[in-house]
Amino acid sequence: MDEILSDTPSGGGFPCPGNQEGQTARQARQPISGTYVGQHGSRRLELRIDLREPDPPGPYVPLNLISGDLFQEVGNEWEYRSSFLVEHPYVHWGTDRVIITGTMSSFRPLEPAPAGHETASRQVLRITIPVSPPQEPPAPAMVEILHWGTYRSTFLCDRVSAFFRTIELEIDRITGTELPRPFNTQAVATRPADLPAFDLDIVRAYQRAGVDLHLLSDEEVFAPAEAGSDLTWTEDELHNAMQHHFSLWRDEPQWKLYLLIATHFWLYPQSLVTGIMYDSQSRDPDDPYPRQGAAVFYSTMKLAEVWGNLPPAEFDRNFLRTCVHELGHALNLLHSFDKDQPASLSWMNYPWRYPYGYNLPPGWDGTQQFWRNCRFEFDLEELRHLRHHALLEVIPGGAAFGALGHDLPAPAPASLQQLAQAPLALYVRTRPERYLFQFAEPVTVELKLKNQSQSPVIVPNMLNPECGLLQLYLRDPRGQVRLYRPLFKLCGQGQTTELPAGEKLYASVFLAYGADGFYFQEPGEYQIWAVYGAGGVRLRSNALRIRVAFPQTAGEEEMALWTFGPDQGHVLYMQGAPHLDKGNEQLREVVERFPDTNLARYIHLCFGYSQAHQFKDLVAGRVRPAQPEAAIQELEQAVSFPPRARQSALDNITHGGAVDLLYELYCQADQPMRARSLLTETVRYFKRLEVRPEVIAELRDRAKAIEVGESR
Amino acid sequence: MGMEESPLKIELSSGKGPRQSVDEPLELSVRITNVSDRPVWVVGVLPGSEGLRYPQYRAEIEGPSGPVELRLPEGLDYARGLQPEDFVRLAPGESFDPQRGKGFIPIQQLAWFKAPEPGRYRLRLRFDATAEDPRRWLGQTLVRDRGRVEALLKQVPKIAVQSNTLEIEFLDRETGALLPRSGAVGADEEERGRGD
Repeated sequence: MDEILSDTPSGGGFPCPGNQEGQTARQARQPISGTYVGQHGSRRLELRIDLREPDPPGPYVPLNLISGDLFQEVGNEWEYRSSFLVEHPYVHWGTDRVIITGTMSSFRPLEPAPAGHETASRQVLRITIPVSPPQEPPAPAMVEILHWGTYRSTFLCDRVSAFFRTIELEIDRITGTELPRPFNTQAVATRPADLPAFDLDIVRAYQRAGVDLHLLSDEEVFAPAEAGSDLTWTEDELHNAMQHHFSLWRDEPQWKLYLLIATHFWLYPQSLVTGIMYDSQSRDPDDPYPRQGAAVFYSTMKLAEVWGNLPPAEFDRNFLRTCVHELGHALNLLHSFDKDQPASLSWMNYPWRYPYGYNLPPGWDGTQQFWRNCRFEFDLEELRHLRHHALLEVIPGGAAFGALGHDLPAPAPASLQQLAQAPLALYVRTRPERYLFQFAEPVTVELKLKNQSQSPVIVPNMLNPECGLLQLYLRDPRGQVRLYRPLFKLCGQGQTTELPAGEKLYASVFLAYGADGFYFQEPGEYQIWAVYGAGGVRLRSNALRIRVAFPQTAGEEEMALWTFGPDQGHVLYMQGAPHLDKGNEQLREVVERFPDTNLARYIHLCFGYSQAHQFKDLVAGRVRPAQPEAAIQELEQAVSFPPRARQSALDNITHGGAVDLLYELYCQADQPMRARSLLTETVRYFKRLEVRPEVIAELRDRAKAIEVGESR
Repeated sequence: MGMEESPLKIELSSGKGPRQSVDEPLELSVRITNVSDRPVWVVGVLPGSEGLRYPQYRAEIEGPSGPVELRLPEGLDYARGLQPEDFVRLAPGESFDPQRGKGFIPIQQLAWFKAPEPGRYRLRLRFDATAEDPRRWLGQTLVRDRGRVEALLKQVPKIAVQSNTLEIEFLDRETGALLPRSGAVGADEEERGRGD
């Protein structure tokens, strides 16, 4: 057995090198993802392991998360206490066992925190699962919850399901209606060209999401008279029908759902509602156990103006989608367009509203576009909700529809005192140090991870948020906290590095633009902090305060028009993107109109990087060669100081990178004097800024080497 | 409170004037003005305001061939919960656009409407806040501060108000003609009189 992790209360608890996910064993083995249940005294744990397995993929997309619910025995019943989540778990795929470690984040506090400690940062999960050959039953998992510095709880958990939730579904129907039929994805003409053929019904649609629906076989057919004399169903009538016909119904949270195939909703014919999750607060605002049932309206769906005239397979698809969609509401999923994601291809969107949501163009019908791209899935956020969110948020009869307040809160930054005492400390800062950023200037920050302990520590060498181990939070001038989301996610095997005692790791992070657009458009004060979690350690940084200046002139105000566009954002984020013509043109305009700004220098940097390298335009089918002379001009501008400034417009790491590239270009162009002068100036500048001596020494050595070469 | 005593006035106007090409989107502005001498609380257009929940903002459109069907392809199956910030206090004489700001959305029937044929159309908007039962207002998802929302709801006058009737001529894109011309089914009386 080769390993093992070093999760200890004294800190520095990252696993040893080689413990990363991705090391695959060769022999066939039982998959380990699924639900595990175990007991420790009067406590019970339901654990969900959701990992990318080295063996052939399972029936659902893995999310690389671990989550669980804890229960306490009260009388003869298990009372729910809390739920937790482990993001970015470390997985060691050994030959005889799999070891998973990670830091637990609580949806609610797991235990009362001792004075001076914070719950969320103290609990570490370690799971050990012996490897079983495929023909043998799956081995139980040993699950240890390590309470930082105090004690551990150990649960021996049996694997009870390959899925993450198990729900019993009872379907009844009204006389004259039909149950949804299974349909094959190839039976419809409008579909993604590469969509494989598979049969879908409600059960399989949810299994693909990692949720096991058990369909009860006691279908009941009853008369529409229960809907009253108008034969259309109100929410109260539907709820009443559920109480009378749902054989498993109890007024409490339980993993059981009821679906009624009904005729028309009461708003018919004024509104064509095809389904409803009726057990919500508009029926009874004080109902303590909502979301237990849904209904779909078969007679409405059969209308010629709805789906009655469609080919049978398309009708079946739409019928199925309505059932999956309404049951999704019962599991507390909202519409995609109510979450600002109108272009989602999820079951939870409305095909005809795609991709506009509430902002409809006249006469719009996005149905064809939606189905041409839809792969019959929930989106990733919904999968995370269904599989891993706090129990009461998901379970039918749990929290109110739309109550998602148990989500993990944004972690608070650490105080400087906490950082000073931590064995491993994470800092967010600006280098050169500055508080004020010009309006529209790209904000970059420097991250520093420092080993403050007396011994070396193994750490993942991934401080960039694109790697997924580090999250950056921003509090904007209005006080709202947002998670910075990078444009790209880097997948792949993690790398670790040994950080000797007293040593530091650094990274420069560009924060101005990301998946949600420009993050610093508004003038005012911002706070920025980072959270770094992997392999049993969770670090919170200090909060950095910066201020974005108000535009000084009307001209500067105009700069926003030229800068804050998605193409420009991409060019700045990627430090050059020659294929984005519009973005490059707009930024060129900024450089010409506002040459003295820090933004202009950053744009020169992007153009310089772009021109220094060849660019393969796969769309146009051509390669644009490198343009070193143009790159030199741009980079010279980028590293030059703005007028009256004593420091570069770029942060130290970015400035150093630009100097390195410019130096290489000078050397390639056989301009040693300019190369030496660049290095000498940079040495002088970095010395003034008290940059690390080894960086300065390296620059000085290179300058000296040029000198020696010349003298020879 | 009867409609003639309404403290609110609703005006519908077209940003493109009385004529536009048949394939151009409508640019309608809605203004709600407090014409009383007291402050009035109102709620703007919310998801579901086309029928699922209150307040309702329902459009009526009559085209050259008669009333135009304004049913959306698929009705909403839930509307988000009413929140304290959805309430707008209008001082006497003050106006607001119920489609903009806060969590308000465009009136779905009007945003989606496309004139099916050239000709003269008459558009009208009905604002309906008559439901006394708070459940008809709350929507389906969680209301964060229900006590406050219900207190604010009590202050909203339970009235219905009709807007002015807006006439827009939708012209044929290519010929610029207003088709069909005189004698069109559904043309209003005034127009018919002139045609005779």
